[in-house]
Amino acid sequence: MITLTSSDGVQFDVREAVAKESQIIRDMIQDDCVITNIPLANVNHKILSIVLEYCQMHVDKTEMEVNASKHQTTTGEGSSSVPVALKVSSNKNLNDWDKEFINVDLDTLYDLILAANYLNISGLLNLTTQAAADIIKGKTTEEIRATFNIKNDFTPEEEAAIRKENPWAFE
Amino acid sequence: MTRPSIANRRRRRGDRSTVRNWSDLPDGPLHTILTCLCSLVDFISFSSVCRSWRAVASSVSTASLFPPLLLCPTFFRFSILSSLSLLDPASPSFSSSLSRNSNKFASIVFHSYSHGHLLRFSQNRIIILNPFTGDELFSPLLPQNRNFFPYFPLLTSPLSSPDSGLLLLTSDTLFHWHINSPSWSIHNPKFKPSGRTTFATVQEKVYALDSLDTLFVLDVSPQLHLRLAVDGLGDWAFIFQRFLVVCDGQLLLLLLVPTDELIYAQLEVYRLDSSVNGTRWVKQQTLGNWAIFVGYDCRVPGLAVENPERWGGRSNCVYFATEYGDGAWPWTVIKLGDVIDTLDPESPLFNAKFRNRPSSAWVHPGF
Repeated sequence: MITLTSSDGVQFDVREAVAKESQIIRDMIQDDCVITNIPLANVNHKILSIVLEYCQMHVDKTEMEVNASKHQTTTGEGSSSVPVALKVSSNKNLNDWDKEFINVDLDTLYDLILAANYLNISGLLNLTTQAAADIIKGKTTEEIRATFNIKNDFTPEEEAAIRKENPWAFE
Repeated sequence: MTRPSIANRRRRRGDRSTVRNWSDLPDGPLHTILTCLCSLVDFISFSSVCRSWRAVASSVSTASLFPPLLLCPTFFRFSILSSLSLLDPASPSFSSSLSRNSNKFASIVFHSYSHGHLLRFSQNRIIILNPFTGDELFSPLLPQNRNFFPYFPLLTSPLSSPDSGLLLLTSDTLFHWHINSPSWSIHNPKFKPSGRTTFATVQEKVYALDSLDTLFVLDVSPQLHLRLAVDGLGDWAFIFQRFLVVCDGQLLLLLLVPTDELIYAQLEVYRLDSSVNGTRWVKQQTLGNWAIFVGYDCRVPGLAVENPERWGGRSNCVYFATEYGDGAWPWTVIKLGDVIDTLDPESPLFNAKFRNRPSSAWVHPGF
């Protein structure tokens, strides 16, 4: 077990495998194998609990698959197509789970992107950035600014120059 | 101590408001978001949001991420341009007309199209028009006063590249203007390309391919000189169409050749291979995870895009633009190995004609 401490001082006990979904934690554990308590200065307890929910689910699924294929080899029953089918269905379930998991409000999505980036959890980073891209798709510049609460910081001259580059895209 | 649990903590996405400062997202995640977008229109919207997003967008090569757009001209009275529209293979519902933004090209005769620009002869010079911005560039006067109309001027590379040049090959003379230089260079080649000739630039080398499949290399400095590189290939009775394509830093030759039954055609792809044993074309069995886009006119080199599946396209395929793009099938997708029925109206060879005017072509709008 490893204890992760959020920026607001809440401690989470997690299995090493779950913590190691994060590349930076994996590196820390590798460098110092007696480490048991890791403070995470950039992630509050609310976001950390969501991040750990993601890591827990992905570790569980992976372990389930490994166990299933081990079971398959030791008992030797059935054809080789069974574990493949199992794997496909488990991937599908995991994708469905990811989809439901990432259905969050924009503030949470923002915090999750920052946390996934800081902790270097590539699966979660891909999932969250893809979700942000899906929100951007099909929107005009104005609609993107309104959705993400972004202030237009271009001068009127810069803005005019940008529009002149590709006027066809701003119709 | 708290254990992670399915927290009851998340407002669902129905709540769209955000108090976070999304313009402060670090470059890494912003870059990943950008690479998840599928179309150029989304990319342009993204890059125009704010300074920090624009800075990240400007570090990305759009040509490697997004498919090109199809620029489709329409004409009246045979050769007078009436409008230009844009279609996006990554976004079938998208269509935009350039004529509303600029009337600079309406009602004007254009003679060719190259690297996203329309080219025309005007009073013994060539005018290069960027149809997206309306910007025009005038060449110096051509050194000979004659009728250049049947010839097809071409840019050697995009105008933004420092080596970009304008080429004009007539029946006996090659003209080259290094963009922004004061005058034209002239060359009367000993071995002259025959028929319709296409030019493509790979790793700063300019190649020319003529209608007998002879490949030439064009030296621009110290003086303009055209020399033979590869003397023909294959022994087909004839070739329907040939295109030069720059793909992954290499020169490809795309051929539409007849099968044993002459009304059918198939695609063949060759890669230019230079080794100690000389320069030759090597046949390729696959395009791998690339898609190639060729225009209606084979004198305009094709474009290659990696991983087309990310925007819903198909690998190992060639996207052929049809003549005008305003019909039911602005382009046709042919997989390597497919047999093409030349009598099928959707075939890229159906009713294929050459005209001395721009036709549908693929373009990466510049940024």
